[in-house]
Amino acid sequence: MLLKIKGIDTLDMIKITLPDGAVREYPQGTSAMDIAKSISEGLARKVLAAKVNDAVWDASRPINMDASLQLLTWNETDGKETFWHSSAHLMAEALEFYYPGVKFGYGPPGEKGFYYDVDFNGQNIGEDDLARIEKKMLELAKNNSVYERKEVSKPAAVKYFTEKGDPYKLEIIDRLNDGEITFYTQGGFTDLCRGPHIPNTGFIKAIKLTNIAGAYWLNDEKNKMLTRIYGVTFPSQKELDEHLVLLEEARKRDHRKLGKELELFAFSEKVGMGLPLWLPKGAMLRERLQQFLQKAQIETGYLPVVTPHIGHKNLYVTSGHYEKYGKDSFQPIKTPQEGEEFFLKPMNCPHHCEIYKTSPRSYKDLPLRLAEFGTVYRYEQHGELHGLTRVRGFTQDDAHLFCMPNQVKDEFKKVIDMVLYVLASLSFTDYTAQISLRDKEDRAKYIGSDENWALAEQAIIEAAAEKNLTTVVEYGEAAFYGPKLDFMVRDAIGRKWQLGTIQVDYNLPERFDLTYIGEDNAKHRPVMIHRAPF
Amino acid sequence: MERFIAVLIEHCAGKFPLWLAPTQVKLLPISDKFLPYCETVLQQLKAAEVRGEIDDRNEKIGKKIRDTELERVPLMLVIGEKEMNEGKVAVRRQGKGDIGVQTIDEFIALVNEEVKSKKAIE
Ligand SMILES: [Zn+2]
Ligand SMILES: [Zn+2]
Repeated sequence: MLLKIKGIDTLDMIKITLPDGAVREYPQGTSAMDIAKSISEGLARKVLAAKVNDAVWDASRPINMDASLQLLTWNETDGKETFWHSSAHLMAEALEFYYPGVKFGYGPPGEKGFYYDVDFNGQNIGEDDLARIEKKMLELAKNNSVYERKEVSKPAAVKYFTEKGDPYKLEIIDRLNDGEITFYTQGGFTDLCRGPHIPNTGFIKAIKLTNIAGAYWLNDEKNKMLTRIYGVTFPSQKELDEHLVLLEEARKRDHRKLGKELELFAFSEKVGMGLPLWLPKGAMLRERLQQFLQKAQIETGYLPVVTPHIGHKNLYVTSGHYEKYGKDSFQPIKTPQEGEEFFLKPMNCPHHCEIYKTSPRSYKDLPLRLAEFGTVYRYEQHGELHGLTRVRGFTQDDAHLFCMPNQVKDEFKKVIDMVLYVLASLSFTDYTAQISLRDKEDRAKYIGSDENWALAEQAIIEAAAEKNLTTVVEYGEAAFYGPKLDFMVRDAIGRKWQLGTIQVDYNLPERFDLTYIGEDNAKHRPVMIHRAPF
Repeated sequence: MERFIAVLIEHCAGKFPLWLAPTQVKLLPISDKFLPYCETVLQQLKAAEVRGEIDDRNEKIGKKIRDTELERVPLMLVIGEKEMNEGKVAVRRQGKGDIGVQTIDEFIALVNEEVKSKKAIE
């Protein structure tokens, strides 16, 4: 055992810092799995991968430098993802058995499992085939095949996949540099992959391939349509069984199914995909909810406003949205007047900025809180549409709060209060907040003064803490125009949903040249907060 | 709103709290004979801003109850001879069953109280 090695030349030792802060010394080249074994055999049996200095590695990969180390098991998201991604390799191996000559695109993990995009080259595959593929996977898993990592030169990688005749892997290799290419082999299957993977296939004890769909190579409609096979795997049958019960429960609650049964909403191809039609019962529900939200808003000092569904091109040139989204959005609405163009509004903020500008504002007018149940339209690709959760036209319970920099904290607290009140009224009891801040190092990409950013970031953190929110802070996740706070709620069967955002914005006040007269009689720039949580 | 309503539907499996339910109460006459009385009750409910509907199908009461349960309507009023003669309603709650015979005023007070307090679903 490693720990017994004593008196070895200290130059060959590396310092490993564990999550609890403890520092242990190991010989250079020790792997995370060796370290796990030195702690306990029981732990080692659960280790799927390891986080070495913030990068996820194979547990078997030798560590040659001082490093911080976190062992990853099924309990960690990174552990699960490594498990699922490794399962995609296993599925590929099973597919090659039944469908010789298949080619593979990408096979990443997701939040709920994995998929692999496959080119079956004309061979038939359907839902009925999934059972035998699962069975083959289980059989292969029992071989306890190790996922072996091998560094490969670019010419060798090209040679391998040219001989195999896989144009997708060749396209991926083309974008990689020599020296950063690795292959992984388990059993009889070799894949181009950066890794990491679990130690061996034996960890995969239960498998469910869930469905088959079409997916364009690189998500581009101009490319070939590949077959995407989704699946989920577990370290025990018990966990798969629980998962299947949950899936069944989720199926029963699917809002698309209930929306139809309870006559709440419908879709019509004639009206257009992704454009919900609210039936009388659904409209009643929506009206009630809207009245409830509006009452809460008015109590918090929001002023309802109403703005049109379209806006002149110049509005979006000023806001910057035209430049950013112009091509990828709904195309302009032209009028008989030469050169006049309107856009369906993709958001309400530019309209609200113009309302701010209708009269001179003084510090006494702030915060000014403009609220609107504004219906907005955003182009979503056909394949992205899903029930009411991904639509092309929807109504936001939107509001824009214009305030002084030192009022940000109070405004955040008020918004948090309102969100918590609404969640409690609808018996959502489990929620967390994610706070997105600037990158710790690279600060050049953010608009707005350093001072204001620091103030707003501090304000959000303090507001969340004072409201006793459970929060996760993510550095580098802020938009270029301001930090934000997102709410995540857990529903009755434990699924997580992301709700809308409370977003600080230094950009639009600048672009629209919004000002207020301060106590010092000079002009100042207000801070804008977008909030559309529901 | 759309996304939030989707989440809400899946969270409560379509069983909305009373203050939000599109139809709060369904009136279930045991036979056609009690339809006129149901109409009178419905008018009183409407005047009190309670959202109600009558199941006027020619079906057995058992089937009417089962269907209403499936529609996730939170409250049901079963109306027959005795209720009509006494000017009362027999109240059932979705998923819970019979909760007793009440006068119409008592029932309206029950609904109003629950709506006002925004009582959550159990
Ligand atoms: Zn891989
Ligand atoms: Zn906005």
